[in-house]
Amino acid sequence: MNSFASVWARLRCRARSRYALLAGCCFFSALLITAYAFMMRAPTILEVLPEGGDSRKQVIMVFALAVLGCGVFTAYAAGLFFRQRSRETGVFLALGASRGQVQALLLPEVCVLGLTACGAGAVLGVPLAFGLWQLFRAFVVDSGEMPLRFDFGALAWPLAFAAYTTLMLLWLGRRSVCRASVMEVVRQSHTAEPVRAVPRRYGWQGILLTLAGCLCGYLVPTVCVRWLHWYAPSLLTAPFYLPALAGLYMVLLHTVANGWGRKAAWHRDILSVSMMRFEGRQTVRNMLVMTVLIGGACFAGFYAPMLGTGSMMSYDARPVDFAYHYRADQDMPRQDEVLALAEEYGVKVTRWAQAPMARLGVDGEHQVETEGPLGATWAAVYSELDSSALFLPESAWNALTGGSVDVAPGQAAAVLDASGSSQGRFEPSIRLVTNTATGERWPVSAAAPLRHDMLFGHFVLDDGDWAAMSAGLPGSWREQMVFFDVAEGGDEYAFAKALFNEIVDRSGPEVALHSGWDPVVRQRYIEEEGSYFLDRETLLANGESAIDYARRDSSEFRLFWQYMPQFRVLDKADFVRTLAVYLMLFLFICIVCFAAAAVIGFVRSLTIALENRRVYEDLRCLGASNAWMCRSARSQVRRVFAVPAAAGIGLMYVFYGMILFFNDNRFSAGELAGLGSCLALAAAVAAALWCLCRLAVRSAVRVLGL
Amino acid sequence: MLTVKDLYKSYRVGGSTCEVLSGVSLTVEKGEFVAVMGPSGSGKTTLLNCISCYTPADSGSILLDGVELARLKEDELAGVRNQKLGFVFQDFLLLDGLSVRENILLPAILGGHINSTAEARADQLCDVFGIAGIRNKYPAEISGGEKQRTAVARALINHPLLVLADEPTGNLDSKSARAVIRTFEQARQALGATIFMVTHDSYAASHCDRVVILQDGRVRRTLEKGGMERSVFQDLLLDAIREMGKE
Repeated sequence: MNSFASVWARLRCRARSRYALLAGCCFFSALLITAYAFMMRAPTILEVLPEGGDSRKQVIMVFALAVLGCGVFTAYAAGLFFRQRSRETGVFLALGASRGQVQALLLPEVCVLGLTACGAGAVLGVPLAFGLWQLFRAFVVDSGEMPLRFDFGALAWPLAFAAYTTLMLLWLGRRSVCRASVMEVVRQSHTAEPVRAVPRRYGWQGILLTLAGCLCGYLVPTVCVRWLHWYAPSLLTAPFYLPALAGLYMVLLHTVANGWGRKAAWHRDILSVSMMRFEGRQTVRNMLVMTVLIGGACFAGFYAPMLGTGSMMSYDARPVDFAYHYRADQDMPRQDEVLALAEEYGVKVTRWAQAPMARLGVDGEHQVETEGPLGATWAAVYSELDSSALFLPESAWNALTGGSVDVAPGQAAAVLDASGSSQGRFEPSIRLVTNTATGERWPVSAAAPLRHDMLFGHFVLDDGDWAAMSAGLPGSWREQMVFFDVAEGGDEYAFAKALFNEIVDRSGPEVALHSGWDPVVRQRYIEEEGSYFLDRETLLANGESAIDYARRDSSEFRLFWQYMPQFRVLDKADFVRTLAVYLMLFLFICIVCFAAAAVIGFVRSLTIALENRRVYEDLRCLGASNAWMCRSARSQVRRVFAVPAAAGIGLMYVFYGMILFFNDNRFSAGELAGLGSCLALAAAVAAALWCLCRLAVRSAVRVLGL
Repeated sequence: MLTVKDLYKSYRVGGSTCEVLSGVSLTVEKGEFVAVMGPSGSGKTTLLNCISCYTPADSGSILLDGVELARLKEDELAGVRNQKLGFVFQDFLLLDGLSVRENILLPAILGGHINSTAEARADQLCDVFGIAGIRNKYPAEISGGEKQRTAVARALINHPLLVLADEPTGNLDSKSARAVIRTFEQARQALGATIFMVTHDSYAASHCDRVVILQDGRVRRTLEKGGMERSVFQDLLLDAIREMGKE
C-alpha cells in the first residue's frame, strides 16, 4: 500500500457493502426501467393498444411514475453513499489531501459504478421482460397476438437513465468533496438527516392535498376539453397531479416524525418513532417511492379484475344468447342454415327473430379542430347531415325484443343501454333524418327512449315512417338483425365458433370495416380532407392495423369489427384469449412495480437495522430486554411497509373509483362488481406485503443480533 | 514557528453576528508544548480551526514558519496541512478500514512520499508510543487510549513543524488520558515536536511549558511553567480559572 489510490482501493474493499448497496439500487432501477420500456415500446403491445387510447395512456402514466420513483430511489441511495463516505473524505482533507486528489479517485469510481450497474440492468432487463412474458404464455394464456417482438429503440430509456444516474453521481460526489469547510465534512459523518419540527397539521393537510391533487389532475383535462374546447397537451395537464405527490410526502413525513397514534400511548412507540425521525428524509423518500410503485402496481393490477368482472356481468345480462347483424348485400347464413348447423352440434334453437334495419343520415354536431402551439382547440359545428345511424321499424323492435312499442309518426325513439345511459357515445335527440339515396329529409322529434343492450345506439321509428324514409335505399344501406336463443345442452361453444367462422368467411371485403366507420362521416372527410382516417387504406398507410379476416381471433378484430357477432358463449369463453395482450401487459406492469416496491422496502428495513445497531447495543446496556427491542425493531420495519401499502393501495382504489364515477357520473352494476374484485386484489397485494414485511422483520432482528 | 496576530473571527447566527475571536495574538516557539484553556465558548476550538486553515479568519494574520497562511491557495493549504502540520482530534478520526500502521502512514501516502524511510519511521513511532504490538489491528479492535496514541503517531509521521491537538484527552478515561499526555511529552523529548493543544483538562495542561487562557475571544492570561512542579503549576492554573469565574 504505497499510494493514495491503493489506500482508496483498500477502503473500498472494506466498504464493499456500501458500494454493493449503491450499485444494487442503480442496477435494480435500470432493470425495472429497461424491462418496462421494452414492453411499452414492443410492437406486439403497440399494435394492440390504440394510439391515444386510455390503455396506452395508463401504461405511459405508470411508466412515468416508475421512472420518477427510480430516479428518487437512486438519488437517495447515492446521497446515503456519499454521506457514509464523508467521514473518510474529511479525514483525507484534514490530513492534507487536496480536494482534487479526492475527486480524482472518487468521481471515476462512481462513474464506473453507475455505468456498470445501469449497463447490467439494461442488459438483463430485456431477458427479464421476455422471460416473464414467456412464463405468462406458458402458464396463463397464449394467443396468436402474444409472440413478443421488441423494438430496440426502447434502449434509449435505460441509456437516458444511465446518463442521469452517472451525472447525478458525479454531481453529488463533487458536491460532497467541495464542501467549504473541512470541519463540516468531518462533523457531517456524525449527523443523520433529522426531520425537524414537523407540525401535526401536516397529516390532515397532506391528505387533503393528495385528494385535491388526484381530483385536479383527473378533472383538469376534462375541463379543458369540455369547457375550454381545448385538447391541452399532457405536459401542461400532468403537473396538476403534483400536489398529490406533495401531499403524500407530507402524510409520510407526519407519519415518520409524529406518528398517528394516540398521545396517551406515546411511550409505547417512543423509541421506534424517535429512531425513524433520525432516519429522516431518506426513509420518507423511500416510503414515497414505495407508495408510488405500489400505487402503480395496483393501478395496473386492477385492470384485469375490473375488465373481467364488468365484461362477464354484461355477457350474463344480455337478453339474447346469440345476436348478429349484417349488411343486406351480403350472403349470410339463413335461418335454415343456422338451424342445420346447430343440429350438427346438438344445439337446439329455442327462439328466432330477424328484422330489417336501415342506415339513415341524422343531424348533429361534430368537432372541427384547429391546431395551435399549445395543442388543438375545437369548435362544435352543426350539420343537417352529420352522421348516420341504424333505424328499426317498431314492428321489428317488437319482433326482436318481444315488446309492444308504438312510436308515434314523426318521432324517433333512441335506444339506450339497459341502465338507461347513452354512455356519451351518441346523441339521443335527433331532429332531422335523411335518406342518403334520395336526399329527402324528415324532421323528427324525440320519443321516450327505449332500453336494450343489444340494440344500443339505434333508433326506432313508426312503421310507416320507416318505410317512407328507407324507400330507395340500396342494399349497402340496409341491414338485417338476427336474435336467437338456445336451450342448454349440446356443444354450444363449438356451434358458436362454427357460426362465427361461417359469418366471417361469407363477409366480403367491403364490410371489413372498423366499428366506428360511418359512410356519412366518411363522405364529409373525403370532401374536406381527401381521405377518411378509418378507411382501410388510410389506416394501413398510417402504419395502423386494419380489420383483417385472417386475424379473426385477434383482439383488434373481436373488439373493433363493425359486424362482430355477439355470441354469449363465445365471448365468455374467449375473453381471456381475446384480451390476452392487454391483460398480460397490465399483469406484467403490476408484477414489476410490486417487485420494485418490495425490494426497496426490504433494503430500507435492513438499512434501518444496520444504522441503529449501536443504539440497540446501548439499549441492551441500559437493561432493555430482547422482547422489548424486537418489538421496537418490528415497529419500525412495519411502518416502512404498512404506510406505503395503505397509502398506495388506498389512494389508487379511491382514484380508480373516481375515474369510473366521472366516466358517466354514476357507478354501473358492472363497475361496482369490478370494484369489489379490485378490493379482493388489493387484499391480496396487502397480504403479500405483509408476508414480505415479516421476512424483513426477521432479517432486521437477525442483523441486530436480537 | 507560529505567530498569531490580531486574529478576529465572527459567525452569523440568524440575523445577529457573534464575535468568537476578538484580536487574539500569541506565539509558539519551536519545541514548545503550549496549551490553550478557557471556558466553553471562549474561542479555543475556533482558534485551532483558524490555525489549521479549516476556517478562514475575518482579519489578522497567522504566520507559520514565516509563511502567511491566509495568502495560500487551496492546494497550497493542503500541502501545509500535510507537510507542516500534524493533527490530533478529540474523536481520533482513524479510518476504520485501515490498520493502525496504515493509519499512521496515511499522511505520508497522501503526500506522495511513501518509501521505506516512511515505513521505518512508522515502525519507530509505534515503538516509541508502545503500540507496536497492535500495529496490524484495526481501530475497532483497540482501546481509546491506543487509538489516541495512534492518532498522535499519525500526526508525527511527516515530521511536522507543529502538532495541533483538539481536546486530545476529551474522550478518554484518566488512565488513557495520562498515557496520551506522556505520548506528547515523548514526542517532544524524543522527536523534538512542537505541540499546540486545546484542552479543558487542567491535568493535561499542567504538563505544558506555557498555558494561554482565553475568555470571550481574548487572551486573558498566559501562565508559564518555568521550573515549577507539575502539581504546583496545575494548582496555579486552577486558581487562574477560578478567578476568571469570579469576574
